[in-house]
Amino acid sequence: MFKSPLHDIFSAAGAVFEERAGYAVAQHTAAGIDAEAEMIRGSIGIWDHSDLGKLRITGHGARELLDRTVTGDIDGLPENSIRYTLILNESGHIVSDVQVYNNFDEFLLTCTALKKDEVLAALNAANSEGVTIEDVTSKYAAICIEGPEAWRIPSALADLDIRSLRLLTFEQVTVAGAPSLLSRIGYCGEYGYVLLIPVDSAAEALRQILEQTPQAKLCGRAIQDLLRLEVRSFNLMKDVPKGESPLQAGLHWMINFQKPEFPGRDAIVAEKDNGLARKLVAFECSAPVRQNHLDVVRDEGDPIGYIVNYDWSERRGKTIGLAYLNDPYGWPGLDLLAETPGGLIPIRTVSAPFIQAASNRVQVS
Amino acid sequence: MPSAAPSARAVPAKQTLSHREIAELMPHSVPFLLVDRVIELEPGRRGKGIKNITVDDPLLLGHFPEQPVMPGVLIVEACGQLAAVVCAAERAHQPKLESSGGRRPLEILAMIERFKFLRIVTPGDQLILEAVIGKQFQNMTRIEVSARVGRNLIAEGTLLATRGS
Amino acid sequence: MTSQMKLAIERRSELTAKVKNILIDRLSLKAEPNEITEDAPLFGMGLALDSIDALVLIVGIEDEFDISLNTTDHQIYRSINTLVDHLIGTEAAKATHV
Repeated sequence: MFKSPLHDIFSAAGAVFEERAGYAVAQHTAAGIDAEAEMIRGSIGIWDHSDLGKLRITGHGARELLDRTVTGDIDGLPENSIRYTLILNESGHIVSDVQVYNNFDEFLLTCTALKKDEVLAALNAANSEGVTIEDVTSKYAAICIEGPEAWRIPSALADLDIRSLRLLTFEQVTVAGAPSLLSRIGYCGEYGYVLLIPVDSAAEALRQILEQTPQAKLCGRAIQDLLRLEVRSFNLMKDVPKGESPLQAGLHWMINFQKPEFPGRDAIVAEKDNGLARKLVAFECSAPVRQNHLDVVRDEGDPIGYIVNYDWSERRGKTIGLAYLNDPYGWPGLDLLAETPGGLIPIRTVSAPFIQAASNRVQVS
Repeated sequence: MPSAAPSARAVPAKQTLSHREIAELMPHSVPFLLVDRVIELEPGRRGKGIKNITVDDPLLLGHFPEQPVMPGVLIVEACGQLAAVVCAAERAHQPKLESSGGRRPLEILAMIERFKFLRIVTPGDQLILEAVIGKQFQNMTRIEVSARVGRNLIAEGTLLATRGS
Repeated sequence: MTSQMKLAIERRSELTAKVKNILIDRLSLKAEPNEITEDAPLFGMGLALDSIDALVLIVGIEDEFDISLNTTDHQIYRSINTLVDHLIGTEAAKATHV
């Protein structure tokens, strides 16, 4: 099993590790997931995403290769910018969500470790011009920093005006003596940054961060699911369990319909024009429900959908979740029922995102 | 005991501002302060101002040497500056909540939503500028503006301006 | 499906289409209504509107619906769906004042 260069630091914080795609991933620290949620929503949480798949794409034709492989616009992606987008297969199903970085004379693509091989295969299949695709996953660590106060860390770390680092942009910086990439990208709705740093300098960088910013606390990865759900952030591993289409999952904004060519385009344009058979809709229910207990959704007696992703949200004071509902039920504001082993419970479809992140009210200074 | 009659401090709609008072409210200065005088002012809400166009205006020397005409974008700028005065006048009445190091917040043009130029402006004209402050969201303000010479409407439009520092 | 639910869905669908059309029209988007996500965050990772877009959208909705929108309650502006929630809410409030 691969161990992240930050493994020992997290171990010292009482982290519990689980194996994910060959990596030991810290799921939570001794503080526990409830405390971790409060840190990320209230001040600063730091977690390790060094297992993040990282591909370096260079050479003549790199931009074109990416532009015809992903659903978003890469042709017009400015330098120092990031596109958060999708790779679909020919039948229009999601292979993975990916982040594409335009780093001047090279492109960087990041994706979850669990889908890296499939993403590589998709790129290789479309690579008719001999563009160089290099797997640099094991060369870089990824330190994720998120929270309303998270902007304090990059400010202290790298000598740059943090306000100029707009969402989905990045800068080349030197941290712990190593040339690194600092990007502003977050999935929990708060100020979020990812530091991509050579593995040999990662531990030193994290120690520096923790020393300089004592309010920052280490977190695990398990709490991410709930925090992403609260702000309706796409969760590849939960939101499309039956290969549901990106339109059904509500990911239109990650697709550039003006682009004439990308895998799966025909399928999703046809689906878009014919109307969606089902839609992923947010719902809430007042009772706390255990994992794996919510399933089919019913309108009175009839099954009309199924639940894919849910959890208790302390901030909402309710169980929040997402369900695929058959046409014409895919709308907020409906009172329906959900099956549990103990019987039917009332749920109500609602608008998402479920909460407004605290970071929206924070003035960076 | 004297009766406590409520003192009616009406919003002074007919307030005028001299060039010096304008300069004190604004970060701009000559040669790019394009409002000579304010003749009506409801701080934060609306205002009317004057800009005189003269034959020796350096901004007109090259536009055009044979026939001086005020460039449309400068009409936009003059209208925008009047709007800035209207907003600045409201802030001048508010207690200073925190020190910003003596720096005045800048009103920066964010969008020219629409603008029409109906007649040209030449030396000898006196532009009557008008600005009405509209909807605001976060730091963004929408302003309806117009410019007249006498009874003739010269230009009108809608601007969005953002408050930065 | 109860007739009450049917009505609610129709109303919701109608209002959502209207808001999307205002968005496309006023912001000159090269998108069709069925290419826009109702639940995506308006700001940030989603529709990525800036504050110029937001104000233009707000004015557009005010014009089309002949109402005045509260611009300080940021909960209204999380997504197109929450905007529609607010429109439904103000409609209902109007109805009870008949």
